Amino acid sequence: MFYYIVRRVLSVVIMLFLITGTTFLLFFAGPSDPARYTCARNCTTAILEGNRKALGYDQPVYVQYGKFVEGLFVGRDFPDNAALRAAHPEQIVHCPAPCMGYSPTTNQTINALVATAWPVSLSIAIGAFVIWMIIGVGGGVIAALKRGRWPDRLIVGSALIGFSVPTFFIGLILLTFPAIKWGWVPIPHYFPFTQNPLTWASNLILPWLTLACIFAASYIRLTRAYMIETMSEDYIRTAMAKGQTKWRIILRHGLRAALTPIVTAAGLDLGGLLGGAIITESVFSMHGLGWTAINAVINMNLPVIVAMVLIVSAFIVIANMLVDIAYGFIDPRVKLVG
Amino acid sequence: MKRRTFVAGVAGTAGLALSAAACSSSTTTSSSSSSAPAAVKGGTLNILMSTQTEHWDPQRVYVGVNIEAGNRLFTRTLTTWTATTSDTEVPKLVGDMATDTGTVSNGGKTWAFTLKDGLKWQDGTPVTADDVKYGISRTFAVDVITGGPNYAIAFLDVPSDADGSSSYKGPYAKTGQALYDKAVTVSGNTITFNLKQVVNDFNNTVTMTAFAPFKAAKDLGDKSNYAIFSSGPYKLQGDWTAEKGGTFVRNDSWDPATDTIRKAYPDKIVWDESLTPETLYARLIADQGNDKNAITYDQAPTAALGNVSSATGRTSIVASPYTRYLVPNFKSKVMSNDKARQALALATDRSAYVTAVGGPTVAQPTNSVINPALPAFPNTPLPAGDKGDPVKAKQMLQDAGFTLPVKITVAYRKSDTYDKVFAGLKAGWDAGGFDTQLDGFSANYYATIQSVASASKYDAMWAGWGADYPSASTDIPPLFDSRINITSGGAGQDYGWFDNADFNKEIDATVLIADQAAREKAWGTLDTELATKYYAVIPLIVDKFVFVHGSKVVGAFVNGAYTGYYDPATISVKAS
Repeated sequence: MFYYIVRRVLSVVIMLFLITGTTFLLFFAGPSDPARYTCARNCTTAILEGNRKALGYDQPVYVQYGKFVEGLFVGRDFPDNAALRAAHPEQIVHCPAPCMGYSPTTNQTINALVATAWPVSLSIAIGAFVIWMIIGVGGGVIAALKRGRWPDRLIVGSALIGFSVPTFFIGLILLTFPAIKWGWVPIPHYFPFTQNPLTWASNLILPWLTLACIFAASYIRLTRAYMIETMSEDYIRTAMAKGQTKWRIILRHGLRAALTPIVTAAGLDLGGLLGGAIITESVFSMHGLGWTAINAVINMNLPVIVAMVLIVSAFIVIANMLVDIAYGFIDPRVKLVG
Repeated sequence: MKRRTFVAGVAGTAGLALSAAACSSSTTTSSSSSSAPAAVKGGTLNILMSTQTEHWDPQRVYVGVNIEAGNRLFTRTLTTWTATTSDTEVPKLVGDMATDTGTVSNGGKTWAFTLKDGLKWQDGTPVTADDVKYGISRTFAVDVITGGPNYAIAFLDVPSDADGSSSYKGPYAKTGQALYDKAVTVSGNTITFNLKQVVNDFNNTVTMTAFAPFKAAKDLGDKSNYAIFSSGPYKLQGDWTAEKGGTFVRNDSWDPATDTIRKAYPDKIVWDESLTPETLYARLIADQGNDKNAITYDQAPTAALGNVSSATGRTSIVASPYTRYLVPNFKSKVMSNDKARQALALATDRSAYVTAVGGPTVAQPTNSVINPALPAFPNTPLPAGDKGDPVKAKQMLQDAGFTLPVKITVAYRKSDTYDKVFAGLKAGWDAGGFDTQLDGFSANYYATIQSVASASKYDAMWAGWGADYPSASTDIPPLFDSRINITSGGAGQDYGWFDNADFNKEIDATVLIADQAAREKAWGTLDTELATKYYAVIPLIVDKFVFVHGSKVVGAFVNGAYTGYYDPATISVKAS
């Protein structure tokens, strides 16, 4: 078990390096010129070259990547200009390790950017996750038990609707009617949990419901399918024959066995969502990681794009690893060996 | 470049408006709440935004929204433009921090401005001519103060190094400080600028916040980007948060007696730039609660255009500062022929363009590069109405000895909307005897079309432009003076490689005209010549801006010639 975890962690680190390296190559060695975005109208070649040098874009890509990796471990200074540091140290921004870079358009370190964005994404992801797991797994179990009867049809039918309507549509409907037109809930604005948990929740309820609508649907279908399969297994019949209570059979023997694939999916979905829910965050003006990422893409803010790819891939890769490790605990048939 | 790229995104979203806008095209009149209710002091004005402010540092601001809001709220300049009382009124140039619009001497190469008494920073210390001098010097620190206009470097009489960069490296490095001190001199309250060349409208140039004062003791270089230190009626309360916004409250050090422009009615201004355009327009149209006190500087997105008409009396539909045009490439074999360029102009179907971008609510055809809001606008008649005349164009090509169809390749900046636009234009050109190949791409569009490689690849190229300030001297020379554009490295902004000695002579003569009205009129004449004599440009459309404001907002007028946005100088909010 221990060696298995060590091996997985190592492979995660290697994978993250490969991902950031590739992203770096794609954007900084690609056809678009990052220095161009720092030079306004009436841009002369001299100014363009000056900016390129000041921002280090004149260096070969591997040097730039090296500096990026160095920043992750020991931190960096922006602008990286020794003469300016000597003459005007007050103008230098220090970005401590793990430094993910500096956003030239918003004049802040990406660490600062992430520090304000991740609580937003975390809040959205956790709340939505709780709601969709309750609705999804609960609904799926009920549908499986009432298979073929009206509760099953109702649950599966509404799951299908929830699944087929696009996120932005649900989001805009929820925003326009309950928030803007009827004023039942505040127009969503992010407030930190620590400031007032009630305000936090009331502002987040619409994004939660939007995401829950989308995700719950697939969990209902997933749970229903696995529950039906498990409930027809021989050992369930054995348990029934032994006279165990109905709910004990459903929860202990049925659901636990059906849970393994659901946990896999949930881990990946949550991991992906922690990296930001782009559409939901955009619709509700929540400045989480997803919004930051899409905004960086629109503005061609290359350092932010690279950092976001690193963060999102880290969440997914780590979630994947945790799911694999969790198998060892949930599923008695799985033994993790080094 | 800044203002150009900024609008590019807007045009991209305007496209899907096709059906929505067609229904609401009857609302083209601009109808702000102009029934003139009395303005009252007090209240809170909310500014709802989805566009993030890149810079508030006056020397780095280059986007119309931030020039307008920055100048009216906290960055006063030597001269500025008056507020207007309708969406179409042309503002006048007046002294702002300066006592008047400046004194010119030395045949237009020396300009002097004297500061008013009683000007103060928000900490109560006086604003001095040295602060103005220091502020402008920051533009020269091109490695730190990025993003702003470079007029100071272009106009001030500071020599250049061999590589073309200024020999003065800005106030941080201080290299070449003596050269700058010679170009800009201060004596008491008076600041004098010595220019490289005749700039008869330099007093227009200094309306840009890049020529605003900056207090040296407050300068943190790049770190000052959002550190607003006010000389105007409002100051920042707390910090500005990038991509979220900030709150402005009254600056008690500002003396209204020194200021004829800013009425400063609201007590508080809350700027929230964390929204999406769809959300903020849904809120403005719904007009509930605090949104009744709200304005925006973002144009209505496609999704909102259909509902804008329901916001009766709260809508402004005005010409934006941007013109979209096509340049024939003088280096192409076909387009070096006068008749081919003329035929292309004749066969251009502007109505197809307007339809594709969303109808007359969001665009209007034009045959001038200069914007309709500018005094220099010549209103050159269209060669053959909105639709063009392909039959005549075809005949012209045949008469000129071309074998039909004439193959041409046209470059444009690709988006879903512009694919439709150019499919429509291609139909017109093809009917006019051309065989049009379209090449749409979006990555590095302008850098590509100005490259040497494009000179032998394209016969015509699409582009867009808006004046920096209401003088056509920021339209015609930057786009069509070959001497400042064409180098061995590329075409600069003269994308069509138009290089005409006679025309350049006319530019030189126009620059020298001392009288502002006569000079602007002359720019207009040059614009008409470009479109109808040289066929060096085929102006296509002017984008329109659509804005909505809340029902309790009074005096929200678009200052068309200045920036094309609501002017906060005169806005007030009703008490209840």
